[in-house]
Amino acid sequence: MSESPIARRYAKALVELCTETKNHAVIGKQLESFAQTWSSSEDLQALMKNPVVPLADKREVLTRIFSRFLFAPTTRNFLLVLLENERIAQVEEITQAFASQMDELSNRTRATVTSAVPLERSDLARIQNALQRLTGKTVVLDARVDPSLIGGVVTEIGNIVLDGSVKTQLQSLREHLLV
Amino acid sequence: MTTVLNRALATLGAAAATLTPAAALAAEHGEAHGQFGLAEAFYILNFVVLLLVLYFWALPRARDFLVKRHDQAKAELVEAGRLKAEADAKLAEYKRLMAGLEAEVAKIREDFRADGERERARILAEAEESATRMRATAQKQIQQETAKLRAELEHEVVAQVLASTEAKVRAQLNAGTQREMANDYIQGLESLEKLDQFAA
Repeated sequence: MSESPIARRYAKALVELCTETKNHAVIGKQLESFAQTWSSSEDLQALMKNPVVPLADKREVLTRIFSRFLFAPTTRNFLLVLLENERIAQVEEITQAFASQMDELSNRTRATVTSAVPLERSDLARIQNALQRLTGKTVVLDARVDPSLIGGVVTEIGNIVLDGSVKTQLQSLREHLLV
Repeated sequence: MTTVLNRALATLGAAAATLTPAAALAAEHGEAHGQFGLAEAFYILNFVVLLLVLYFWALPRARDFLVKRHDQAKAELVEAGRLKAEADAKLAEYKRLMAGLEAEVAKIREDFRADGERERARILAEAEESATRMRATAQKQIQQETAKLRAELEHEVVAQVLASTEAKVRAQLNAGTQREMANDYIQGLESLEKLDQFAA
C-alpha cells in the first residue's frame, strides 16, 4: 500500500508525539491492532464513514473499542483526532506510514522471506545477517511459506526482490522458450 | 416642256390616225346619206376626249403601275436570286455534310470503339488491382493465421514441456533438495557485495 502525503503527515505527528513519551513500540502495536480490526470489520467502516451518524455516536463506539483493547491515551487521542478530521478511513495507511517512519528513525528495515517449505531458524538468521550487512540496517524478517514457489526462496526488502524460486526459474524458461 | 410637246404631238398623231378612218367612215356615210351630221362630230369629239383622258390620266398611272410592277418584279427576282443563292449554298453545305457523313459516322464509331476499349482496359485494371489486393489480404490473413497457430502450438508445447519439467522437479524435490536449494540461495545472498547484484 502506497503512503499518501496526508498519511505521512499524520504519522510524522504521531512519531513526534511518541518521541516525547518514548512509547513508539506500544503505540505502533496498538495502531496495528486497530487497523486490523478496521480492515476486518465492514460494519465498523460503514458506521464510521456514514455521514448521517452523529460524531458523538462514533466517538462512543470508538471509546468502547479502546476500552476493550486497553489502548494508551496517546493512541486513543490520535484515533479520535483522525475521527474528528474525517481521516479515520485512512488508519491502515497511516499505521503503515508510522511503521515506516519508526523503522527509519530506528535505522531498521523490514524484509519478507518466502519459501516453498518452512526454513530453519538458522537459515532465517543467516538471511537476516546477510541482509543487515547489505543494508547496514537492522532487518526485521517476516517469514512466510508459499508452496506454489515449488522450491527455493524469495526475499523482498524495500523495492528489491531477491527471487531464487523454482517457480520463477520455470517462468524464465517459459519466456526464453517463447521468444 | 419637250416631253409635253412630244406628248401633244403623239396625241394629235394618234387622233389623226384614229380620225382618218372615222372621217373616211363619215365621208362614206355622208356620201351615202349625203352629209356629215352633228351626231357624228360629237362622237368624234367624245372619242378624242376619251383619248386625251386615257393619255393624260390613265396612261401615266398605267405606266407608274407597270414601272412599279417592273421594279417589284425586279426586286422579287433579286430576292429570289438571293434566296436561290442561299439555297444553293445550303444545298452545297448539305452535300458537303452528306459527303462527310460517312466519315463522321466512321469517326463516331471509332470513338465509341476507343472509349469501349479504354473502359474495358480500366475495368480490367481495376479487377486486376482488386484481385491483387484480395490476394495480398488473403496471404496476410494466411500468414497471420499461420503465425497464430504456430504461436498457439508453441505455447502448447512449451506449456507441456514446463508441466512435464515441473512434475519432474516436484518429483525430485524432497526435504534434502529443498534444504540444499535454500542453502544455495543463502550462500548466494552471503556472497553479495550489494543488494542489486543478486541474480537468481
